[in-house]
Amino acid sequence: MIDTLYRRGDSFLHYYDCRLKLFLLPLLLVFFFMPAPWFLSAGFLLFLFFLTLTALGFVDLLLPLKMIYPLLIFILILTPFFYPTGLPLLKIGSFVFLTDKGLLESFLYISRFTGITIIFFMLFRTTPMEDILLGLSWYRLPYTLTLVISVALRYIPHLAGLYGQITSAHALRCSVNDTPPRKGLFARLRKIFPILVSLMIQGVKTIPVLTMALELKGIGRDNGRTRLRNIPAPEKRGWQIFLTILLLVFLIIFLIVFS
Amino acid sequence: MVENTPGSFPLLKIEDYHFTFPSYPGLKGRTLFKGLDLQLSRGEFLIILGKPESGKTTLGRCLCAVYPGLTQATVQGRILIDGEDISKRSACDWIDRVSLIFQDPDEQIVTSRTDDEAAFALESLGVEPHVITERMNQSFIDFGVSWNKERNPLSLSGGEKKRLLLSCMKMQDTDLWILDEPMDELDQQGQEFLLKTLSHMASCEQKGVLLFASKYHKSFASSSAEIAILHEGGLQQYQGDSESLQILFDQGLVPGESSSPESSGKKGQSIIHISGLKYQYPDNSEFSLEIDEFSLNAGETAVLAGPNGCGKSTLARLLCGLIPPQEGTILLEGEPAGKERLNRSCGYLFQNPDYQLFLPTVSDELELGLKHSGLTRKERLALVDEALELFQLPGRNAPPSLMSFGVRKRLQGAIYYLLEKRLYILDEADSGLSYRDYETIIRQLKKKDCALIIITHNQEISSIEGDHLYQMAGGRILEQRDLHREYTL
Amino acid sequence: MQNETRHSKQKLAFRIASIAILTAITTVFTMIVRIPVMPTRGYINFGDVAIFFTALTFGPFTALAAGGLGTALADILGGYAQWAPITFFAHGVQGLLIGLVFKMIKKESRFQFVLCLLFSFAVGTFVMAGTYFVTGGLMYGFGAAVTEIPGNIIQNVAGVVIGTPLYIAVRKAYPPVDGFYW
Repeated sequence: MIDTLYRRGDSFLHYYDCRLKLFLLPLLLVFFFMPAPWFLSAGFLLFLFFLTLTALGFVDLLLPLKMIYPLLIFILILTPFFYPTGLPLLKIGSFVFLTDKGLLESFLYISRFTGITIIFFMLFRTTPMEDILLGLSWYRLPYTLTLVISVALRYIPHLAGLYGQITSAHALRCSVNDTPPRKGLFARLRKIFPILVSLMIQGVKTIPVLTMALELKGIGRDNGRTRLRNIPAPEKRGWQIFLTILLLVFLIIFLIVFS
Repeated sequence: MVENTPGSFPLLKIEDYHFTFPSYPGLKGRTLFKGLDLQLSRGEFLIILGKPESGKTTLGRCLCAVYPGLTQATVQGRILIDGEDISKRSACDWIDRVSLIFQDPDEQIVTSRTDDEAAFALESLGVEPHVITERMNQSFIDFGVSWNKERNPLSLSGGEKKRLLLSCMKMQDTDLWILDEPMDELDQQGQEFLLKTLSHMASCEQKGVLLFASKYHKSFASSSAEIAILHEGGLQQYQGDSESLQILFDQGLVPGESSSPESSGKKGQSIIHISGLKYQYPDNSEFSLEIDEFSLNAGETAVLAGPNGCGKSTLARLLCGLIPPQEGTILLEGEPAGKERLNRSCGYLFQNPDYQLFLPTVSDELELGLKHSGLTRKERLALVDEALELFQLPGRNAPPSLMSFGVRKRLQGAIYYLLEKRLYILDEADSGLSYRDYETIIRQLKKKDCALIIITHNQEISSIEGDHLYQMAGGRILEQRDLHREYTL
Repeated sequence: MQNETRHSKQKLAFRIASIAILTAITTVFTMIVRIPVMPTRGYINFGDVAIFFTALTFGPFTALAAGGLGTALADILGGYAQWAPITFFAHGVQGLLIGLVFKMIKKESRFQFVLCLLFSFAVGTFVMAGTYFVTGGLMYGFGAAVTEIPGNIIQNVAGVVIGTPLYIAVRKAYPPVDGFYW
């Protein structure tokens, strides 16, 4: 029922060291907010499209776009209203609907938002959650925080299943001779409320048990922890670092040249 | 602080231990131990038998210092490990000396990878990675953990989870091993292997081993372990004499002569009849349920038995209308029935009673089902009082979420007793429940003119009061037996 | 003194456990517990219900961590990963503020309780809807960002309207939960 975005694969993005991905991610985000002409972010977006298409395939390119397209339409419709000055392109009576400036702004926003979406999608599509956590702790994210996230991920499917069970259990608390239930939003809320209470009590009751499990695994000891598993070291790490730097250099050069 | 040399003190010593859970309005706190004494030296293997809720789990937790902890329980007396009072250190600082396996593996597993789970405690102890790997490989071989190390432990079967936790314990290599109901979910071979390993650990590696169990297994007799019985807050040695055995019988640890269920003789009207039923889960193509024919009349009790994943619960869900069958028909009292009617006519007592409980008091819970019944308030209260008495519930104002498992289970029974249903399905009603509680629920529900289905994976079917036994495997009913005929044989 | 450190070690395990469980609960409430509503675009999710509950029952700091992480994880698992950092901030601070308002203000009468509730609701909504508006505006223009505001406010109304009775009901049905506040 609940699944992470990650899919196994053997593209070069999958083998890319996740520490480098985590290093690149904020820099690429910043790049999209740099004052640059529209064709630069549009060009970079095309590059990202190309990357996704070659490494992950057509389906994986469509998937993130399918999730954001309503918002993209909104952007295209609503943004031009904020830029009435400029060369009018579409005009009904005295009211200017579209100017060249408005159109450019729309393109800028669309490529920015789509670009950010695709970057995040690529990261989570090609990197398993545990590797991201390992990578983050390599960047000195405190152990307790990574532990919280990984324990939460372990409990999400459990609680989701519990929700299903509790819903079934409550559905059967009726009798042969009962009057039929009412319908409508309010009735639906009243029906879901007992389920939420049961689920919450069940969830809250696991806290003391989990506390015990963690104590018995040695959470709270003063000595330093060791770590059995580390991020798998890719064979071509030198190449990957080189590629990362190359990408950044290109982007910086473009930024300087065009702005 | 005095440096304790191991050996000069017994490994574990419990002196005059008392333990009482806190009281809440409407519910008096349970006292579990009254002056419990125990001594265990290195090299000893002790099996402690006790009926469900006699305090085995609590004792195990007290011995690793996680209890009293958050429970706010009142404690008297001392627990000493190598002469050091256990309350002097916090639980995480005892993990190099004491280790515990929970009864429910799901409560103990905190990671989503087999190797992470196995390494966790050792990482906390600061053991070097290559040492962890070495120990892990060895104990994985010992306990037959042969699946992919990246696999999510929660996707394992019950027996596999137990084996994983056992190998975690072996890796931790503590002096005192405590195992809470480790025999559950292991097959015959696994149980014998476990007892042999534990005997070996005690005699050759000088560990102290404590094993808690609520059922007497025949293989206990052939192992080197001593047996004690936890009864009314204290421990008694069991020497195999008849007096001790009598206590065992009283508690339902050994299935005794169960009073043969009153054979109704006359056949009631047909409650449920299914034919040509097929169901397959959308996300699991390996499993399919196919039932050619199954029928049950009023006053009859059917027992569905079989290993986990054989389709017992799926069949139950179909009968309650929680999932729709892809093929075949379900006749309820001779008429084809859809989701709505099945929902209303069939009651499913989930193994975990808490799924249905959410209100602050027992009487609130009992009254809820009667809300749409069209009865007057006076009639409803009379019904609630009747149910309180029949199911021996502690009182109107007791908070359900704080009652013990057995009482919550009886409350669940009482809720369904008040709901007029034609068919009751009890899921794993016999596990974790004392025989007396189980009997109460079954007997009361049987009073209604309805049909009963009991789902179990218990091998000793004779301890269950049923009329027909259906053995299931791989989504099929393999064989059907009449249980009455066996009693007379 | 010894007793004190023993206690603090257990507290650490307890805090990790409670934040982890409530994070998971928040994620499940956000992703799975949904009610279809006609006027808005689709669903109201119950993420804010969980945040309200956490802030009232467990206090501001658990709400900060569990509210932020839970909703962010729901974004990541649901395929809206680009929102995760913003969501973490918006819902985390929302939970923190609701919890803080509730901790600071005395609630002796029922009237004060309701007032306090309204105030915390207003503060929480302001921060949450405001964060989404500003960051949305930067990402794709304020024109499109305005359209998100009504949905976010409805979310929060659902949060306070369902979260508060949930808090009361759970406290009544499971009294030990009072000891979990910090």
